Amino acid sequence: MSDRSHLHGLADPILRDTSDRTGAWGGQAEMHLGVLLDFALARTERDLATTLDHLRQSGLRTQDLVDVYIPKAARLMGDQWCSDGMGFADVSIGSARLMGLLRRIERAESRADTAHLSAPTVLVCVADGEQHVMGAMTVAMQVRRLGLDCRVSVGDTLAQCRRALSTGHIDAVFVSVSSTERLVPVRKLVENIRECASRPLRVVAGGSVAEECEELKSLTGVDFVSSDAAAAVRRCGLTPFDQHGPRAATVT
Amino acid sequence: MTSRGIKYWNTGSIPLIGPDVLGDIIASAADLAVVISDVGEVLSVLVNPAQRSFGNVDHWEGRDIRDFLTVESVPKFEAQLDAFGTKSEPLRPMELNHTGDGTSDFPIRYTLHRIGPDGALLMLGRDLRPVAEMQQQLVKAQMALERDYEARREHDTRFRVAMDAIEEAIVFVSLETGKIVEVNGSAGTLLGAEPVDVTGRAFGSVFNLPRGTSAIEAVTAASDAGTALDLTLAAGKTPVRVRPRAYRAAGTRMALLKIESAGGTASAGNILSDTLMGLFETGSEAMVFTDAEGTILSANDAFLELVGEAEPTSVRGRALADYLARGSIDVRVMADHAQRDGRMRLYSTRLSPAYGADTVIEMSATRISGAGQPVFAFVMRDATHAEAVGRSSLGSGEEGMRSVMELVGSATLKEIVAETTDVVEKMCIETAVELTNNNRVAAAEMLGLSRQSLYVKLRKYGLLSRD
Repeated sequence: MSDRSHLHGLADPILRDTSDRTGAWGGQAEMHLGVLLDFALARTERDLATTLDHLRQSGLRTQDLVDVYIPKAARLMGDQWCSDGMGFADVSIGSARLMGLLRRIERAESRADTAHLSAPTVLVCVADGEQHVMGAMTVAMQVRRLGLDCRVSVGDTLAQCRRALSTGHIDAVFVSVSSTERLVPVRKLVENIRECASRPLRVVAGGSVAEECEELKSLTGVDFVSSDAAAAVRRCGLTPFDQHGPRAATVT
Repeated sequence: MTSRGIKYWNTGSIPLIGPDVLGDIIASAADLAVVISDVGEVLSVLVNPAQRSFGNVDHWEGRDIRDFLTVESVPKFEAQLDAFGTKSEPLRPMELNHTGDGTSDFPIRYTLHRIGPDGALLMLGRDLRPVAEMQQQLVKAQMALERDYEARREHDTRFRVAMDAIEEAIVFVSLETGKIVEVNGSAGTLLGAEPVDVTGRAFGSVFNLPRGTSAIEAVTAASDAGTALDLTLAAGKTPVRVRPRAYRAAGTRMALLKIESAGGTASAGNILSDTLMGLFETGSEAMVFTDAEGTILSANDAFLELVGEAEPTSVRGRALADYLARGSIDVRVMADHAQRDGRMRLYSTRLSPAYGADTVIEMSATRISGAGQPVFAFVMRDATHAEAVGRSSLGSGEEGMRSVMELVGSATLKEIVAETTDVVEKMCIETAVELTNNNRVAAAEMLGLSRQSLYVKLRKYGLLSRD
């Protein structure tokens, strides 16, 4: 394991557990993950800007932080909860801190957050009753980075969702699904989307369950399942409209 | 002596407990206690009487506990059961979800304890429903926060678009911490850094402040007094002028700073603007800006001097024609020309001051197309000296006049006058055409002729070919 002596080591048991199971994370990557987990689990709140600075100075690209490391840290905490390694309070606080980190990065990125007038718009939906928004937020940031416009609907009622579809120029809907136990509301949401849309829309399901549940497509009624924003955009036939090409994530 | 790392009671401090009492103790110590066989068959269930109901659990007895666990809890239970049999170190408590009978699912945190030689295990359970309910409330609160954030995002985007579009350099500073909290693109350019690199830095580390002055004091004092702060940038020592406007919002004191370059690395646009203003204010040529109707919008000191006015307010709003000897004819000739070609130069006329004699001037006119109505700029130069020089070189003209006088005696007066009139008429027409850059409508107006008459005379003197 890399030198993490300056850290409080709160993340060590999680990382050890992960290494034991996968053996995939090591060296610098593990160091980055350790910094993130220590930030999320610290008993006293760490400074967000200092943590970002620290990660940036150690060579981590903001894009990788958003796309890989923050979701991975959140997933590790979730796994620990499932295996009784962490209590809900620690996981909830840790997740909220990671969300804060994402929001901070998003705030810096939003300087160039306006898409071209002709850019397609993706509606990212988190179904009512879902417990997580991090996946949806990460996808929204990736979609915006591709030069598309994106709107996020968090736990909106069916009526609110209907309004968004009727008033906004939505070109595709990405539905974030985090648990196989809550597929009924997701199916209802998808049916509602199809009903309200003024023209045929591509509806995509994605999230951590995409890899776990082979029947997700048939169970939810979506057009296809994908957890890769760029691939989903391509399969929906959406063309990023950005005269400067896709944006790189802003260094914060 | 310990078992699985847990200390026993001190010898003698706890007497042997009878089964009748033990049941009560277990039921009170746990919210839900279950005795199972080594394979998971439920042998007995005890519910804490003070506990909220778990619904009917009596029918668990004699059945596999797995039948009353949710799908994802079964592997956890089996893993724990397996670990309990093989590992000697203390095990972590396990959180299992039970399927409710007439109630919703309920989570219980169990610890396992061996209680008999036959492999029976005691599962002491702590009801996690209050914790789960609190968790749900937390999740809902978090979701509500996220919804609010998404709603606010639109306003944030508007703010950022406005900040980026504004050409003025804008910086927000917290008057609580003295740190820069927001910087727009123009300010970033002025400060020679990316806005994100300046954000979060102390105001005093970006600007050099007078010794012994804190950033908060300086900004607050200047804002209160409505004055600007003349500072230099810490990087590069470039002078800048900072105009602060402090305000209080939601209990936080902030200041909006408008930063202007005071020279040095000022943008090319600013340099030109400042230079032109200097030329206008102190230049020797008279300059006047008028609207399309010829009404004076502004005039410089040199013009005021030429026309003998004391204050700019005396000329502002008046017609420029009022100060020209040929009045509106001059203005119309120049404005028409400038309107058509963009500019007209070397137009000679006379300026009639409020008091005193006329001044011979040379004028140029330029049409300036701004965002709004077109503006005409007139630049005038005193040409008295040039005319004097020109007149002294008119020797040949006087010579011509002398030769006309020599005609006396060889022709009648009537013939001489007729000849001379033609010469003078031709010279005047030539001059008018030249002055108006061959604008015949303007030339006719200048000479007091109809357009038709001017054409006749142009033909007569062979001047039509000047097109």
